[in-house]
Amino acid sequence: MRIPLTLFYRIFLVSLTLFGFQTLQAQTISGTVTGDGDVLPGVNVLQQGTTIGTVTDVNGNYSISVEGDNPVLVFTSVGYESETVTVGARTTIDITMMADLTELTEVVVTALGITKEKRTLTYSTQEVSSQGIEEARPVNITEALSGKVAGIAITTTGAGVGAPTKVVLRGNRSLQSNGSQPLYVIDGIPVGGDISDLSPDDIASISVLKGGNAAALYGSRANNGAIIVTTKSGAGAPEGVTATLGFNYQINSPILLAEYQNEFGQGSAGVYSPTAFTSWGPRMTGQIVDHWSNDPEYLASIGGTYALTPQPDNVRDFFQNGHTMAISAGVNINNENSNTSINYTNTDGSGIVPQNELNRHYLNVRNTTTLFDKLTVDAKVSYIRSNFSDVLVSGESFDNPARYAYILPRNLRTQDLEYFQFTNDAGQLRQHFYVPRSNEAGNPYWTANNVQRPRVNERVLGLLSLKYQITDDLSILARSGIDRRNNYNEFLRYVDTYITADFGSYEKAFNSDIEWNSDLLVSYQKELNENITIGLNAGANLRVARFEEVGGRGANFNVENLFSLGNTLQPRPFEAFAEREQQSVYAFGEIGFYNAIFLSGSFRNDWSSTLPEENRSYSYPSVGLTAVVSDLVDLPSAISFFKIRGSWAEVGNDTAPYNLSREATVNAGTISLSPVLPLADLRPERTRTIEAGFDLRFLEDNLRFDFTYYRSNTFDQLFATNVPVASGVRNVFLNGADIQNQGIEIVLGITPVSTPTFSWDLTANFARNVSEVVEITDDVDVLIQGSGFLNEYQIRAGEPFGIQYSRGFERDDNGNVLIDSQGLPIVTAGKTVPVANFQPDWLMGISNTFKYKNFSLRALVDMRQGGQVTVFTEAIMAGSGLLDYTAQGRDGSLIFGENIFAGESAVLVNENGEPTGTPNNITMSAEDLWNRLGGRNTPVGEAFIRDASNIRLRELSFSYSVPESALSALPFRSARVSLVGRNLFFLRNATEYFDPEAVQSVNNNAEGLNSFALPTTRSFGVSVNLGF
Amino acid sequence: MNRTIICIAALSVLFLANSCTDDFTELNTDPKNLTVDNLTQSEYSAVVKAAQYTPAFLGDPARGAFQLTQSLFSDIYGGYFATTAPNFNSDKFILVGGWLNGAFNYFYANAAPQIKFAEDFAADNGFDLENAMMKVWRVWSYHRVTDYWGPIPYSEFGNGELSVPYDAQDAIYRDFFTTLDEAISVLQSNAGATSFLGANDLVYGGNADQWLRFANTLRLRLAIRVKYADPTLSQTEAEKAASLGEFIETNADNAIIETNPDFRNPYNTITQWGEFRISADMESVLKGYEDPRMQFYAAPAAEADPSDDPAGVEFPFEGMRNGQSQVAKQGNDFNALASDMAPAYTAAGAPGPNYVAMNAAESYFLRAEGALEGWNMGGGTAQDFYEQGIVTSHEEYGLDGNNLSGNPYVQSTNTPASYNGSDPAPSQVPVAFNTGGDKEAQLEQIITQKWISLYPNSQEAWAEKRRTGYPAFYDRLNTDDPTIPVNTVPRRVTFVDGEFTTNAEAVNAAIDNQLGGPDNGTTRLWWDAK
Repeated sequence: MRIPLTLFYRIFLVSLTLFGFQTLQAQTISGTVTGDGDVLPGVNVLQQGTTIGTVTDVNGNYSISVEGDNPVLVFTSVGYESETVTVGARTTIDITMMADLTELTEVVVTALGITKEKRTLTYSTQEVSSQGIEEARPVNITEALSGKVAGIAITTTGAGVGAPTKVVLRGNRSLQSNGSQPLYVIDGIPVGGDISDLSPDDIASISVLKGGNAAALYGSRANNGAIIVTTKSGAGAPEGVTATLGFNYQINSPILLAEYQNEFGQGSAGVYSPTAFTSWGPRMTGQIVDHWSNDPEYLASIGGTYALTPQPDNVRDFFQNGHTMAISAGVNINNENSNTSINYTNTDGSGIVPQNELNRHYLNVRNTTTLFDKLTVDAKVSYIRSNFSDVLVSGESFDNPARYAYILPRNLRTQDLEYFQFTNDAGQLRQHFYVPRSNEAGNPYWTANNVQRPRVNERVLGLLSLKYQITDDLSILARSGIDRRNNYNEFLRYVDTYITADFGSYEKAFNSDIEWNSDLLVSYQKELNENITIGLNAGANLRVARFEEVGGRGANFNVENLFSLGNTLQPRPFEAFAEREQQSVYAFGEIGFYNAIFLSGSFRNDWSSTLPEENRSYSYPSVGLTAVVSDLVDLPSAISFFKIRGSWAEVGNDTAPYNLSREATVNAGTISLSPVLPLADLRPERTRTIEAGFDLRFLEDNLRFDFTYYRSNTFDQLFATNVPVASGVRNVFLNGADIQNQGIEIVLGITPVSTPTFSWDLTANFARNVSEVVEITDDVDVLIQGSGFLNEYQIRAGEPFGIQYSRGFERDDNGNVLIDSQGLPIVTAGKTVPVANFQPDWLMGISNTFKYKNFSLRALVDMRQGGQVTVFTEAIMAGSGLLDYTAQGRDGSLIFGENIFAGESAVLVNENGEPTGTPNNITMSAEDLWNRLGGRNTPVGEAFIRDASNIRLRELSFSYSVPESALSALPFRSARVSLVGRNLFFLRNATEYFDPEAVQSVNNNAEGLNSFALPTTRSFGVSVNLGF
Repeated sequence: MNRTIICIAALSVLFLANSCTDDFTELNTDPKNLTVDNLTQSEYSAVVKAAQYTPAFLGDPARGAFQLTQSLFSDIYGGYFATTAPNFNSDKFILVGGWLNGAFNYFYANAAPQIKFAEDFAADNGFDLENAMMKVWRVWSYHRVTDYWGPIPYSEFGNGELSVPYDAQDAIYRDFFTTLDEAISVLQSNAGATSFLGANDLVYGGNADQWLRFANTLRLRLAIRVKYADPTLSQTEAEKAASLGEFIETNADNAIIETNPDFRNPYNTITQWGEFRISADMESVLKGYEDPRMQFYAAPAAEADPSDDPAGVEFPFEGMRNGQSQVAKQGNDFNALASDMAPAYTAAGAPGPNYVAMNAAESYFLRAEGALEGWNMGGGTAQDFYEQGIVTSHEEYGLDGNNLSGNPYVQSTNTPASYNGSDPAPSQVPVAFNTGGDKEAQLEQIITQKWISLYPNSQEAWAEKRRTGYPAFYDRLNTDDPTIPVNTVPRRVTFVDGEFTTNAEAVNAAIDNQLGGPDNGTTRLWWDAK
């Protein structure tokens, strides 16, 4: 590394010389630089294109003599965005610098919203810049974290535009179905929901607290780490009234990867059938065949027949290009004692499935005011309204239009399918399809248009914080925040929606989810002498959460397609309610020696309403130590910074409400005993983490290396275990299990070039996590987490988390596949073969940022190595003769182990089913083979596993900031235009037929399973940001 | 001063935390549900209702289980229906483990705990009559389960342990008879009484006398079931029933659970899915007999074939052969070519026909078989009981006992017909009792008519097919399990995946010690000994 860096410095010096020629006349400029409301000492001031420079003094003042025509000054300081100012005729230029969170800032936001100097932290934390999120913005901003933080794994679900994501930090650790998700914290207050609907324009920074160590102060809910969002407060903006305007437009197109065969049409055994769901029919040569239409008028209009020809695009045609458009406006009103920030964003999106649209209003008003020099009031209200026209149903559901689109026979014409409904002789709206009232398939256009789940989500985030600075050393903070989410859901299915609603159905529900947190925190900071500083804090938290739902559903309309509960035959109400409360006290503090060694510790005690009285109170500590070695001992001059750190933490966790006694459910005049037996004396779950690492920087911080090792054990987990169902219950709640995750995280930063005109930053994040189920309980070795047609998720002692079992090939002792008398592989009866585990070997993200003058180019490459996906979609598509490889062997020429599954060695069995050792030589047809292996009910998972490794260009943005000189004639303070792209292409995709990121839902038992997930999308567009 | 403030803050914090947890227990009590431990007599009747609905597959979650239990197995092994869904392979004798898992788990997780609670709670609280009713209901429910698998968890159900042993089928049957002895004794001593359950007893409205008839008829069913395995036990128990003499003799005494919009007949849900149609065996028998009950069993096929109808009779009901290949199912629209169930079973969202747990016709056919053996069935010949059974079955549907040509049905010499006009009927057994025929010929008549009258109770039909070999069916077109040939039916279903995961020791012990053969579809149950 040393040689190229030297080279870069030479380039730097040469470029300075090259640009330094235009020397004409001198001019002296002076002024004061401020930032965060204070004067800023040590700011570099440089005349652009020259070597002339100075540094601000302790009062932030500077004076510089510039030369040449139209001089431009560049102000740079660590932790702040650089400012470029055209001097013009001025001699005094005061500058307010904006905090820059894109760089490795020295100040980070930690638990409880407390900002800390990074050098004092005893654990690793990573921040994500707001700029990248703003520009290459996904609708759900959590997607924007992918590749940017070591140890984060993000998968998306197929619910269409604005779909939820699964975020896992440092591996799955919970046996509860979605229990590995992190806690989300906005402006210091934990929220009930996630951050998917926040506006990127309003986010100042996101810090990711990956382990229990960082998050111990949040207690119970943060044992999976926490994602801490700080929204813009207006601080740092210039005094007076300033404004920003943003515009972002992106087009999203589906990435379709499956390769279809385009030789054989609808039918079976080579014979055409217009009612077949399979494409095992004849070779398509344009022969004239009966058309399938069930609308007599349509059939007559096309003459009753059509030519059997391949329709290679009939699946692609179903998906459209989506778009997202975001328009944002912000106003800051700042004066000496008060910052007011008002931000509004409107996001309009459409998905790749027709009718799947989202319109979101985001309004945030925040005011921070300092009264009487002592009291700081911070008040915020956000209102978010998301209007989804149709939230898509994912997975192998009859309501998922993709389920029907993917399996279109290869000869079905788009034009016939687009005519998805017709009015029959009786004046009734009916579905246009080849097997009316089938339960195998339907017209995907009907499902997209006539199965609708409109949803309106309203969210209010409120925050009121009062901080009183009692003395210089002592302050008290009182803070209360609420997250209230109201959802209005409808579910409409038109009459003739096959199987699920032949005669129509309607559902409407309202739910409300409230999370309310209040904190009181006393902080004492003191420099005891010049070598010792202490910080002591004590606080209390009260958390109240409540969920309520009421709704009704009914089916079988009296009047067709009048969507009203009263119009259904037997409408039934439903309701749900859950409430919980948690009270906590906590204390934490640190002591620093020589501003280089810091010892920190915390202690928290929670009282949870969901636990039995005797175990209701539980406490947990954390302790950490760090030393900035480079400040303590002399190191070689190439080492500019060296810090080591280590910490130990324990976090406790409670359970859901009402888990202590066996329920008896009242319904329609009956009382049913719950098949789940709770544990009346359950104990809180605990996660214990150790973490150690170092931060090493070379060559004036131009090369940065941050290494972390961690190990977490989550034990005393609360989980429902399968017991013999004849014991009287199906599941029993138990305390037990020990799930261990250990791994390393490396963050590598290189700044090969850093000049005022050109800079290049490279950041690489690498993470490897290894999980192990150390034990379950003394009596239980296997837990079944979830089971579907294809696979079963099992937790087994001694094995990694998340193994999928499925049917596999029966093999002899030497691993040869057993072949029956028809030449077909013999398949295990049960899902007894371990076939896949989605957990990757490692994840890596590499981000390159180039800045040249006012241009910047940023590219993020996201890599995933290892892990497998089981593909239920493929099992069905193969069973239906749709995929390219099913075209082979239609003539019956396949021999298992030779020209198909050639990697396997296969032997015949005798009449008793015993292996004979005779190599397989029996031919079979493709239809017989794929019927044996694929299909819906008993697919053989072993045949449909795909490697989830891939490398993709996750983000690309190219920006131009209009120089201030060019803006002087315009009413703008700043202007930036960017071309942006997301998910542009795969550099490598071992999965081939699918995007391994597309999963069905965020549950543990859906990860690594592709079940008719929507295609992922490639986006590109433009982003414009203006400041006034 | 600083110290004072810290102390005040810390104290207020602690006060806040500790004083407010008093209401946590109340807060953690679900206001929308009850807990099992706190159920009282006033809620008991609602538990009983669930205990009666669940094993009969009535109610929302039961419909899927009904498909997994009955529609995909006994419906097509008992000969009423054939599968049209292309990839449903149980019709080709694949005993799909995942489906059976659902069937087994539904009974044990949803039905069995309700039955046990209802029986035990009654015992604990001195509700003798209700306890007796629930005992009878337990026997009725469990015999259907053991008749699927053979050995099952029975005596140790609800032991709360991580291993639940299986009981051998003969032991289970012997316990059934003992249990019925106990129940019948209590029911006799409550003659004329009505349970406090009243209308909450869905089967008989609390009528102890009707429960006695049900219990006694159930004893006869089980007695006849074990005829080939233990003839002595069979005769003893059958004659015990006959000597008591209290049978379900009129349709008014049928053990029926009325359906309602919340607890619909499960067929009314699963017929919407279009996965099965009437079998060729049904068409063959009912068409040949010109049986007027067909209109209550099946609907005319959308594309009916009139060419194979009996002379002078319109019979638009069509059956399809079992075991169709996937190729045939992809290439033919069997849903249009063959008959669906009758409109009463296919009306979407309608409550549908009442659920029949046991009917009067069966009690006559059971006595006919006992009389055929020469046992004392309380007077009456096999022919008397056989004809009474046919007439009672017709009456159940409001029919006058004539066939579609207007002739007296019981005297008809009609025989089963070819379902398609070419493949001959599997049997030539007439309706009219073959007085000169041998015992086996007469048994075939009795069981064939019982099979018609039981429709759509395929669980009983499949058990009787296995026990007696009747009625005769067409061969399956295909079998995917070479050990189960096309000319037979599976003798049982296999133990389920979930048991091998959670109760492995017990299920393996059942295979080794109780099943009497490998865990597959060819091993015969204890009573399957003809």
